[in-house]
Amino acid sequence: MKPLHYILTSLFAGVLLQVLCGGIRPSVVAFPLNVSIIFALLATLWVVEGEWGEKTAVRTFRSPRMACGLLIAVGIWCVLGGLTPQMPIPDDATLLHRFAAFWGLNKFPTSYPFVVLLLLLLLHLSLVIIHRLRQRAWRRDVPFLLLHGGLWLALVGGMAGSADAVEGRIIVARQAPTRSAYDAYGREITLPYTLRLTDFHVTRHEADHSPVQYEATLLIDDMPQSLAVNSPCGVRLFEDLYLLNYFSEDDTDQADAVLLLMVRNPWKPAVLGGILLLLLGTGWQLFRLK
Amino acid sequence: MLFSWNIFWLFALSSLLLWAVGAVVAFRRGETCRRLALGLTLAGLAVYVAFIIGLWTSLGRPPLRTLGETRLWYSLFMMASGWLVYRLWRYRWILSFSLIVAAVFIIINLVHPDIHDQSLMPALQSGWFVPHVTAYIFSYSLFGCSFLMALIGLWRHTEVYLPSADRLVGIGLFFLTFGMLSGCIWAKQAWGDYWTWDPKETWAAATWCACLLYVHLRLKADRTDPKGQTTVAAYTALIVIFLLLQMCWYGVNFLPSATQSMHSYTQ
Repeated sequence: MKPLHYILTSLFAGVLLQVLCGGIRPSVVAFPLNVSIIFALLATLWVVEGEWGEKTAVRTFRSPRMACGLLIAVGIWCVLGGLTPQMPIPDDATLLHRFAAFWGLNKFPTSYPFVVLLLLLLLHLSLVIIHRLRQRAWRRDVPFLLLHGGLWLALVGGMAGSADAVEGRIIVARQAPTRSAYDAYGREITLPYTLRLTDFHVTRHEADHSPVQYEATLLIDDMPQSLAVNSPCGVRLFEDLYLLNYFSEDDTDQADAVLLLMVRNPWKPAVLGGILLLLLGTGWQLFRLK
Repeated sequence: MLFSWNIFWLFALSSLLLWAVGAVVAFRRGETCRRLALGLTLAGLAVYVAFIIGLWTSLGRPPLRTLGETRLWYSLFMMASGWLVYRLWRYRWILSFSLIVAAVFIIINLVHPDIHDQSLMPALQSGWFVPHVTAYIFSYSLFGCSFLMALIGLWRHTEVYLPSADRLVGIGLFFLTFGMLSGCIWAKQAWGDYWTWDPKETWAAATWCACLLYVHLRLKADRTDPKGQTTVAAYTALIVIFLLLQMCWYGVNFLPSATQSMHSYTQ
């Protein structure tokens, strides 16, 4: 089989799944299933590479031609997703919009064809990295491993993270402490700490008085903590609070309550690690350019 | 206020004049002419940079927020990249082509200057703001130069421009990746997610894929394609990269999905 056949077959399977099942719910592969899949995949690929590494199918799968095919497919799917408004189809949707929704393009990051392409890319990256590691060629090709390993880690962290991440919105008022957050479906998440607003401050530009920064001070279990736009506050390991909005009854800068976003993502270090490896790899590659 | 968009025309026309003379001189043979072309282009860049520094100082923020302001940087980096390519690889046409692209963006700013308010909104108050945007725009200018090389290469049916394009893409890919990844880290600080498939991010991913495709095509050419059968594919990839980054930069604003974008700061 040629790379194009692998990609088209997988894409066809993805489209079939999309038509039969609709989009993916990332939570179906939440911990510990995601970690088990990752370890099983790596172990299998390690054995496959060791036992059948020189077979045509394996060589094709880790070839630059496969990389080109996958990059074209992912790129095309991104372009199609970028052209399609990401929203549920309304009743008065055009035929074109309905056609795009049929392929899952109106929610393309969680559509089966796109996820299948990303999984294929992950498989390709895994094989390429394992091949280099088994050849013990990593010393002469550190940037290669940094780049591919970084992308692998960021992809794994992003995909597994979307299954395990918890997000909730919290309204924190001055009067009474709260420990309730609400997810996108309105379900209550009970927080293991209490929050109360004690102060809110808007910094304004001297010349035109437009807002430059919003800053809130909270009591988190009676401990004062401040947070501002672009400056979240870490409450626990892998859990951060973000300032989203404020409410003021008399339209002044004195807020009665603030809207916070709580994000709990245990895969945050994996994604950050992948990003740093990618940065290091591209920097190293640049250094080697003459 | 000494520096504002009101006096932009003065600096823009001075720079354009210096760059135009430099581009004409570059077509004349001889080391003296080459040095003169480089010197004139550099002088034009100095005038242009002086305006940007002045505008930055008088605005009290980096002029990087709106399309009009990013056009300012793009035209600067376009000429700077052209100057660098001419200095390194002596393509005499590159200054003229860079000038045409830079002039288009300068003229758009002269006709439609997009004069903006003074301050930077809270969402953009971050240490990542300047490196994220400048790295992106610098990479755009390098891909602009490689796009010109691709057009000339396809027109002349030659692969001689590919080694130079490789270097431009190599440097451009570093800055594009840095711009994208610094954006990821910033997004985590601001919105709680490294990547949300926002319309702008989706187009950025497509552009990055196209850049990586070019790199892999060229690797494949080195290994299995000594006769250069992938030359047309490589040039085509350069053109696709350029078109995608135009979409990522401002084209996305004209799509229906733009209303959902968290990257809309101009309203």
